[in-house]
Amino acid sequence: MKQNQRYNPAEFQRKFFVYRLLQDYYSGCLWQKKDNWNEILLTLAETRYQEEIIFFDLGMRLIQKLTQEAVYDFNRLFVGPEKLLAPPYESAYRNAEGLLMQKETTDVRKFYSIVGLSVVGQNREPDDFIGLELEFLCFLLYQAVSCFQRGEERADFYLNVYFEFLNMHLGNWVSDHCEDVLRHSTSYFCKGMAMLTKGFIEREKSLLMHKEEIL
Amino acid sequence: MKEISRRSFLKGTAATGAALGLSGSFYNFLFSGLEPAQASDETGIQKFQNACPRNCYDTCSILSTVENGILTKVEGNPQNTFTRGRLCAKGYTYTRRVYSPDRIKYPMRQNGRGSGNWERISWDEAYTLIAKNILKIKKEYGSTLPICLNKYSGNFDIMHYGIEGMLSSFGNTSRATGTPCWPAGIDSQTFDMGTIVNNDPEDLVNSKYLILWGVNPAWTSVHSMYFVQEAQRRGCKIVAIDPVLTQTASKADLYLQIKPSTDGALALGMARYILDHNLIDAKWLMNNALGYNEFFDYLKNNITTDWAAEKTGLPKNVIETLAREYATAKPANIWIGYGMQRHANGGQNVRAIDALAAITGNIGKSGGGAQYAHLETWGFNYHAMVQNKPAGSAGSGDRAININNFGAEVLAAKEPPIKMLWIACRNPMSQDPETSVVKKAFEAMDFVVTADQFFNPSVAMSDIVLPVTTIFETWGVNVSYWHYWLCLNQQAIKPMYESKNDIQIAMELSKKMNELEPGSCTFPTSGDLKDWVGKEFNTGIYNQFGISDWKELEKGPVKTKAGHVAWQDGKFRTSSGKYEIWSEEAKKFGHLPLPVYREELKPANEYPYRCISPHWKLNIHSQFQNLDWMQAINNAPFIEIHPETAQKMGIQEKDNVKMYNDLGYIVLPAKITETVAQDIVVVYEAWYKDKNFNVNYTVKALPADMGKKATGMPGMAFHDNFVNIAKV
Ligand code: SF4
Repeated sequence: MKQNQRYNPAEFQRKFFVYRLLQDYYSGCLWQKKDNWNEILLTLAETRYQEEIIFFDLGMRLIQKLTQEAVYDFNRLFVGPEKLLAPPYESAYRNAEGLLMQKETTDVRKFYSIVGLSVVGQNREPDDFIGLELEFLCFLLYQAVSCFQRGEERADFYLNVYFEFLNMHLGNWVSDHCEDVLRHSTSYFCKGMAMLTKGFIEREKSLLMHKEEIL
Repeated sequence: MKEISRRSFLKGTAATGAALGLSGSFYNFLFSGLEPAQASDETGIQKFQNACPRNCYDTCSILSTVENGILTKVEGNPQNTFTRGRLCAKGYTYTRRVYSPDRIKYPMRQNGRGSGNWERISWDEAYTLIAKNILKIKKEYGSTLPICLNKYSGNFDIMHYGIEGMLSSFGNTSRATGTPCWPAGIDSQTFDMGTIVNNDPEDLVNSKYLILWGVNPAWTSVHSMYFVQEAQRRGCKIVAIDPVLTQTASKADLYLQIKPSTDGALALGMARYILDHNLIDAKWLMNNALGYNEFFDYLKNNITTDWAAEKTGLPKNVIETLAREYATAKPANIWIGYGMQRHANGGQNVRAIDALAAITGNIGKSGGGAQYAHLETWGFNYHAMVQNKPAGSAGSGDRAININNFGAEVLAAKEPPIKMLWIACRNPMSQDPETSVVKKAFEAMDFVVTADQFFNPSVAMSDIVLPVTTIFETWGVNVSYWHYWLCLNQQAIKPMYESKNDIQIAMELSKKMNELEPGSCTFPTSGDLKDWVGKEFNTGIYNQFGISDWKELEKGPVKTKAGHVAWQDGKFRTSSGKYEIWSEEAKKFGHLPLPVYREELKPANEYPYRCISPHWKLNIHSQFQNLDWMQAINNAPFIEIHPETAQKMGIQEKDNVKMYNDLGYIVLPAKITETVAQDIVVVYEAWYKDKNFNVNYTVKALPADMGKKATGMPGMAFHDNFVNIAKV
């Protein structure tokens, strides 16, 4: 019974959805989804995270409209061509000199390789791009629950890697990054997404404290 | 799974979310940026040959270390006896350039030039937009002449001349022509000797006497500085002549703070003394020179050392001692810097200095000579550059737009007007004189495309920006305008993000143009960049460097086999075959045939200070100063003012000073220093990221006297900038 709670499919589904949403946001492809935005918001509301995470709630209130201004803001924050106001790369925060493709990046690469993954076109895009880290976490969850459903023991392994990666990587810098966004952003939308990201990842990280209960 | 791009994955998300309604079962995991790991050929440690292609004397050979596909280290290649295993402070920052989070990563479009409203677009969208604009312009104006290229010294790799080739492949276009750097001096030596050739800088060690005339290698050619100091260790006397007490000057045995732009007067004064004291090399002159008698008559009738002393601000006895020492030390060498010719009389001054070397018979000798620059090793095929224009291209050829008065000439161009700019390897919004006029020119365009690595003021004024590769991400081949080495630039790592080499951009744009209008662009639509490097070589280059195949360069750089002493064979490339102190060719270009003194420009009453804007140690024009290591050393411009001047103007250290003239103003903190004279101020030209500083707001597009013959346009008198200063 405890086992079932640990791998509660509904819980994974809602995490899965949020991860995919954040990943798409950072990868710059949400904008093509303008027409479906209301639908996405509804699904997001169904996760009910807003009821337990205050930042999630605040964030959701700010992202109701996907405006062109938000696109420009997004590019100023994360894409360029100007100096990035909130670089979406772990090494930009954690490398002592803020340089990309350093040890911080290859450490992330090593994590990916533990589960047999690597970045498409490796060495073109830093491995520690937030979109990739989110995708990785999402994949780990997916594997955990798939293994569980198939009755495979590796489920625990994936969940362990999940928490370890959160603890050692994304969870370690995402708050600073989101703070940067909140400081520099000029759009409700990007501010909202920063709150959502921060709230969600911090909650995931906090689950680590109770990992034994979950696992 | 591997094929799923990030973009197409989105469908996955929405479908997942909507269909699941947060219950139900999982779909297969759709990867977007990750994939099951593939076998990689990028494992372990590899070394690559690279070359620093910047507008720098040294053109260093670089050895790059790549670990698991990541550039981890750059160092000077010890195989190159000029580079000697070291780079300069700028060169060592190269890893920072490649992996700076601030690199331009993707093609982007700005909605409203200067608005900062950027949208990411795909390469295909970028090519489509650009191609449509080019074709529209061609249709509307009947030719591609409204398209103007401004490309210059940001990357001197030979293949990068394919950017010019790309413009040719559109048809007849307008071109920023000339060079801001060194044309007056090139013309001078072209009139005197037929072209520019300098001794191998490694030969500096053989000098017994060396005058560093308006050049600051301690900052701008650190590898040459080794040879200068080695000469000094071997007993050579080093004299630095400069209006600014530079770091180089501080290492010299004698430093002479000359009044700016009076270098010709000093040279002529010295020549008069040498003549009077019979220290000339009559035999050399008889065998090798034309017009020396006329020159001597001119000296006797017009020049005295008293006059030279008055002009230059140097004591007469110092001039005489200098002249005696220079004329009696054999061999004696002069290195003529580019700074000293950035004056309205700069070319004429260089001719006077050349004449000193000639009358003392120092030309053609190891350890002697009048060193300026050379293009002896640049005889490539220019395969990427030479492109045919499409059949039936309208217009009778390309239209030259003066690079040194770019803004005004772009605005003034008529029939047809200029409507589109392509900017590559250049940042005119920082580096051109009269910045506000340049800005107007950008504003007046219908369409501006800039290809670059970092956001800068020119990118800010563009509609489209294209991310270009760093040297480590592409192929190339490099030679120097100073030393005699040849260095291959190998691709060491994959291009980061979506960056592309300018030539690849040309190929892919050509493909798009031909899709939209067959035959509209002649540039090859595909090609391997490594093969293209090979196509730049010919037997002339092979013989010169003693190789039989360019692939030998994969083992390391090579040096020319001969020709290390300029003019040793006495075969000058003037029409007479002699050194022409009297130059009919100069006359043809509207100059006086002899290197007579041309009056220097003097400050006017309202603008009593001359602002000199020399090179700064942490940058080359608008490159390098934006990188973090450089910022850590210094990240703020300043104005150097003599203590007495500062006192007179009530200015104290670090006070904000407004430097202004009728063109514009800049405000920057004072650095009070005796390294500058009372009547000059120094502001180093540079582009600082995120700083609203640009000395060129005050610099007029004032031409130097020479440059037209060799480079198509006169040079730029950057150092004839008269200003006033006030505490703010
Ligand atoms: S900037 Fe000049 S000295 Fe420095 S690495 Fe490049 S070529 Fe060498």
